[in-house]
Amino acid sequence: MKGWKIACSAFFTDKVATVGAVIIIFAFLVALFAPILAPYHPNEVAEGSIRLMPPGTDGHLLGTDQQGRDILSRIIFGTQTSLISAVVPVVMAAVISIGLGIIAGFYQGVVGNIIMRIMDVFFAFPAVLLAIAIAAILGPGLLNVIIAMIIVRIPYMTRVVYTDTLQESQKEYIEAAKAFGVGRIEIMFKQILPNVLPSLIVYSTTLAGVTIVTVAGLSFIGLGVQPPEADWGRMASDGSDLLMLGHPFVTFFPGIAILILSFAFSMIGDGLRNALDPYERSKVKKEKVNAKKAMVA
Amino acid sequence: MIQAVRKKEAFLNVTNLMTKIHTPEGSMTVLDHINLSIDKGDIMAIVGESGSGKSMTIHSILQMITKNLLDSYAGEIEVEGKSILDIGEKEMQQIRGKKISLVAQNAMTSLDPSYRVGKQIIEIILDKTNLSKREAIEKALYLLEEMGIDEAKRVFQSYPHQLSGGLRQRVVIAMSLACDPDLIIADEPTSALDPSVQLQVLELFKKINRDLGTAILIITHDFGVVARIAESVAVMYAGQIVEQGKTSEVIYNPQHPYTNSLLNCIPDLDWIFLDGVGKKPLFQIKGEPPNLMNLSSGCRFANRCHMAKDICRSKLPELKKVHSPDLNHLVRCLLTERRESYAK
Amino acid sequence: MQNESLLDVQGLTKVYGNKGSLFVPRKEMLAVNNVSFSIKKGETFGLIGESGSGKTTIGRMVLRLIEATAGDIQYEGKSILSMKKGEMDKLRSEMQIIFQDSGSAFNPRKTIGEQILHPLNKFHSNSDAGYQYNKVIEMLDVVGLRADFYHRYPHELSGGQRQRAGIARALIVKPKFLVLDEPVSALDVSVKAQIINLLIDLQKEFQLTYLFIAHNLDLVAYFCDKVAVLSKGELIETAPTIELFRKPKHEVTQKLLSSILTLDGDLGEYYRKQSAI
Repeated sequence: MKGWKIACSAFFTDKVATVGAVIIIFAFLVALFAPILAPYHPNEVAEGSIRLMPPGTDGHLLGTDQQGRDILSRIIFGTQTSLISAVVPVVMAAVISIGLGIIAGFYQGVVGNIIMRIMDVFFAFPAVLLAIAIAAILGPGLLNVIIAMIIVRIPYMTRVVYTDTLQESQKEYIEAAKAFGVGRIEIMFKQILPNVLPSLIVYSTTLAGVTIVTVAGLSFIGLGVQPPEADWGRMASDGSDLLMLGHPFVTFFPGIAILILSFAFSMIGDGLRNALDPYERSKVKKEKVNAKKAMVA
Repeated sequence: MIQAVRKKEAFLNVTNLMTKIHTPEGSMTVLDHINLSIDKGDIMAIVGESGSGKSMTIHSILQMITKNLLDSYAGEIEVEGKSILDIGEKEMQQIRGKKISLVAQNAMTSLDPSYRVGKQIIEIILDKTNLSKREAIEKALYLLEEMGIDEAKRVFQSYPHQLSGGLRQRVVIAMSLACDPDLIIADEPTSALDPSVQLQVLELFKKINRDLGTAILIITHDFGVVARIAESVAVMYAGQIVEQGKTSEVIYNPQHPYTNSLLNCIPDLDWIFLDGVGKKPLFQIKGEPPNLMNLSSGCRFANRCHMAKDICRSKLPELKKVHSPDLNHLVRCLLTERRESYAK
Repeated sequence: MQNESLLDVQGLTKVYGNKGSLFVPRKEMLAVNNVSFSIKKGETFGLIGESGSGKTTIGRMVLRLIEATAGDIQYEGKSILSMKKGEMDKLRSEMQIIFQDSGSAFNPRKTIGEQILHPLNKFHSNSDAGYQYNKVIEMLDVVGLRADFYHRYPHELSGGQRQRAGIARALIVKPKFLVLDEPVSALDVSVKAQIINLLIDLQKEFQLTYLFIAHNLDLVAYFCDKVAVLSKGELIETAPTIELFRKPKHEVTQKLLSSILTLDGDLGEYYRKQSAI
């Protein structure tokens, strides 16, 4: 059986992860085919539509917002920005953190100390506050929010990589590599990296979920995506005034969408770890072989 | 000479214990008809390689096999005549620690690194007995002193990482004595220690047995440890007991080829004192233990046995009494059986 | 050629600790203090002592996995402590190490084959992949492992099998000198004997010289030609094996040897009588 096939089966043995993966794949497809799927253009008031039509109105499944735009179409288009704001900052921050964390953990001493003390400074501020401050300095807009999120996530992820690297570098297989004169760069990125990556990936998926919520929050207070662009956080914010006026659905549907997608990212963590762990993979392989044997017998 | 007859009181009785666990390949029988009995004040050893089932035996006795690993138990385990296989987890917790306590192989993992040693001992005493806090502190200090620790007060105030391996193991043994158990089960208590510390710990177990009358069941792969401490021994191989009896009988009159091989694995140092004359090649047992998932119908040791005959590969021997001064000397070997019947 | 020495260690010293700074008080620990010994070609040299006596540190310093604080180490007459990185790296194919197997001697995420192949790739990068693969299979066979172990992960092997794989990884670059750092301490009695016998066979086959660091004293007695005893970082006694085990001179050595567990009798008794004479 091929390696990636076993990895997939190992992933899908985790039921929670499977559900999460299905939701995320669905969201990606929705984002990709948004122009085809959405019944209306997200920023335009459809012909003959009235403001604040309730859900279930003919032609507007989820109703219309305060400007008469179709909520369903706006949520479908909003999937694009939500996925970008979940994946891009976390992936970028992970790449940078791997570099910083492994170098700090492997060299320790002066280099490690400088890197980790700088991280500690960032730790002193609450993440959301820091994100608001950076986004406010850079100015509103999706790109700036993403940059802010990258900076905010780096200290946390670097910590994870650093701790794992410290642990791995004390193991004897690292000494074995040194005994063969293997260079430091190669030890760091070929020996240590595969061993610190899984826990970072699991952590990243959780962070991706949180990041969706934070970016939505930044949009809510006006720092993120600018109108009239469709964005879940922005939509929730725009509808907030109407909550008490008998139109809760304007806020409700984007809110639910944020919740589901952020949960989905948190759910795939354990599955990814299983898929990356040779021990879990061999367990799955054995089970498969047995199932085959049982079929024959 | 008048031999003092010590009246022995049965404490632990294991009868036909079968333990099955879940594996990816399906259910696996890791223990096959284990019979053991330990009287109060006994020192017994179970010896075998990794995977022989010696750790499974004690984890079955203490019912510490995790739920998602355990398939089923069969047979009977009795403590002081009462069956413990079907009692609830709450009652079992009373037996663990109070009647039977466990000294794990790695002292570091049985101590919590973030609490002082003294606090950890006191907590156990307070949890399992009715002593007041002051009495508990006194008892903890007393126990540490009993373990041969000179600076009991300093150790009491220390964190586990501040102590050496030997001291840590003593602390763990002191903890196991916290509730005056009738039996201490020690799982490879010395294999991680330096030889001189190993010797001290073994002497400590002997002292506990002598002074407090606590029975001791020691798990090891080293016959040197058995010879040093145990009165009786059970040799395990591939989930079965293959030989059982008094230590002196088993060591000087081993009947099972596996026992013999294990004994031979301990280098004989006599040649050193004979100017190098008679230095024999180091004995080794070839191969690896069988996979318990697909066992042949024959003797489980047959493939590694240098004496194996055809019949050994087809028929599984039973554990039978052998002709020996020790009436409880049992062996599971067809060849021994055959030799015995010729002798008759 | 038998009497030619392969490794000469002179006044080897290691001080752990920091130089102290504004926030950290100066703290130093003498791990190894002025240790000298020499190992002849083809010899098995034993290094014994309690844990914390510095024996592992010495083993690592000899291979420059830990840098020595002071002293000199000569390998075939060349001082290796003053070598530049490039020069030292070339020498690394001649000097290798076998670790105590604690499951961490192999990278858990790479197959055994990949990890044995890696050093070969490093030292003989010009040979083609098929040749290298065959070399690995050949080496697995030498240490008594089947070819299908190539594709297994470390966790799928037993302790003894992993130790065999560790020996294969070290031997594939054809070293002359091996540091054996407690190679059998974590193994079952029966497997210990298998590995020691394998090491003895390999020594004959490839003319290897061993530095055997161990606390299994009975195996040291069996395996080594010469034994050095360490206590608190200092070398207190060096002697041919038979001499050392028959008449240990130093009190610490006597205490150490007394703790050998034998099936019959008490060696401690013997040594106490010896020292009384």
